[in-house]
Amino acid sequence: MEPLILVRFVHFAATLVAGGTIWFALLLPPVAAALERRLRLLTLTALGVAIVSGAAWLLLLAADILGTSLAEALRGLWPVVTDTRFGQVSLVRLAFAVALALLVLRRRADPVQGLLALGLIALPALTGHAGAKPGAAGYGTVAADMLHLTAAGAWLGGLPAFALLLASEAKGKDVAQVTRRYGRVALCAVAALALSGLVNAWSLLSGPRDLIDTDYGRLLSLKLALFATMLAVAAVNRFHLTSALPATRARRALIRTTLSETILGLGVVFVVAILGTTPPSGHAHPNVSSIPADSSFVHIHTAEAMADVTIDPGRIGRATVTIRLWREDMTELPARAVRFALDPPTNEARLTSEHVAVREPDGYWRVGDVALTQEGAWTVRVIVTPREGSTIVLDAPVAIAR
Amino acid sequence: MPWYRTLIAIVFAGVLWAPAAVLAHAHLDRAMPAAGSTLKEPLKEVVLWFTEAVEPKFSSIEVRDAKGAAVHEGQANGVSGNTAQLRVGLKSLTPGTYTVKWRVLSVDTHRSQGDFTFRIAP
Repeated sequence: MEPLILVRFVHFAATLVAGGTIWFALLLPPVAAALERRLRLLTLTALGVAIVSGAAWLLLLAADILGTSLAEALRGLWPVVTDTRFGQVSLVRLAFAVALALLVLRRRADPVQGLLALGLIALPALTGHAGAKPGAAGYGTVAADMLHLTAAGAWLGGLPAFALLLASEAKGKDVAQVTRRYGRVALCAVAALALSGLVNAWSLLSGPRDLIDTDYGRLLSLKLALFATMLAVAAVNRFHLTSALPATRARRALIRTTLSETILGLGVVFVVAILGTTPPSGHAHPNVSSIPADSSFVHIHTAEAMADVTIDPGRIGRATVTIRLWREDMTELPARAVRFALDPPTNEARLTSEHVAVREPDGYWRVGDVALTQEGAWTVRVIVTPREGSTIVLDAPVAIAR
Repeated sequence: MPWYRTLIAIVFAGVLWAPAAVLAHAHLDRAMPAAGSTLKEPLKEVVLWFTEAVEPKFSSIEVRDAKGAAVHEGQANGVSGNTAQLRVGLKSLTPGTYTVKWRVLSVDTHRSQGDFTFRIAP
């Protein structure tokens, strides 16, 4: 298994627990010193793990960017920290984590710690898939991602602390009160997770079919399934057990269900660790109005193959079409035959033209003489018969000018 | 309690089929000059638009002529106002075929690369 996935998993889990425990502690009335000590120990341990795993992540990344061994990457680390967004965000988060650790050592949870925890948890949104979305659309997805992370910290991150409370000597009525408060937090968190999750899925997937067809989509489906299971367990907590508190049996049952939720939550975080290393399946095709004046170009990307299609010139008349085929790992896709079809904007079947492409020595497939009879959004279809495997059809809209 | 172990086993079965490779992310969305195109006049720069925001300091664009000599000037630079765009200046170009080789680091820390050719007609 890819070491980066393991490091990301550990880092996310530790960050959520560190922040979530602080936020949970803010819900507590004055409690016994023993419980408070345990919560602070949990926070400090989580912070320590977050710092170490965060540093490991940065080092692995530097080695990957610079193309060197880990030892050499250590020497070349500083430019990566200062010259990449990931490095800069990591530095800020490290400062927050250290400041938080110092504060947690000296005093119980307070709003300042809560704010530092927020920075620690939410800032990674700037360097995820949402953060890499260019332009104004990126602001929306980053905001959604930050909300997503915060909600995860508030709910998932607080589960271990909640279990500690239940297992402690704390008075029954205090436990009942905190459970109700935490339940309300969890409810808001679930709504926020669902809403922000929808926003992100809409921007990262090309459509609902991706959930079955693509690697990224399938992982997302797994994440959703785990989340739904967590919801079911949480619902049992809320409607069944919470009202039975402060009875001891209910309290013990709640510990068990909380531990189940925690395990499921860790599963979700693990899937997220994998998702971040998988390309999102929705490949944003260029806006029809922003194609360059002369040639029309479109890049088509599916899990099986990618095609770069250039139509030169991209306006009414006769044009030459050049197609470059790739596999997802950027190597050329060897094909026995390639056909190229163009569907006009008006959707009249008889105006569709299909051509046989010829492979040139430079690896391009060329179609010599294609008639473009109208302006508008045509659909290109590249039908590839690969050397191995079944036929692949790649399609996408392309703008043809007047 | 034994059922915890079952639950952990089920949930972490993912370890076995977790993908072994980290795949590329930022892809070339558009290029000026367009991939595979033939230009009637030489141009002063190559501009590339990617599908994701990229880190200019860790990305490169190389333009070489048919003999392999570099015809790009200096490093690839970002374009202000568009985090997904890179450009590189070109020396004076004579008619012929040129290859553009790009390597980028996307802001979400993944590397990708690609190349394409364009021609300048005599």
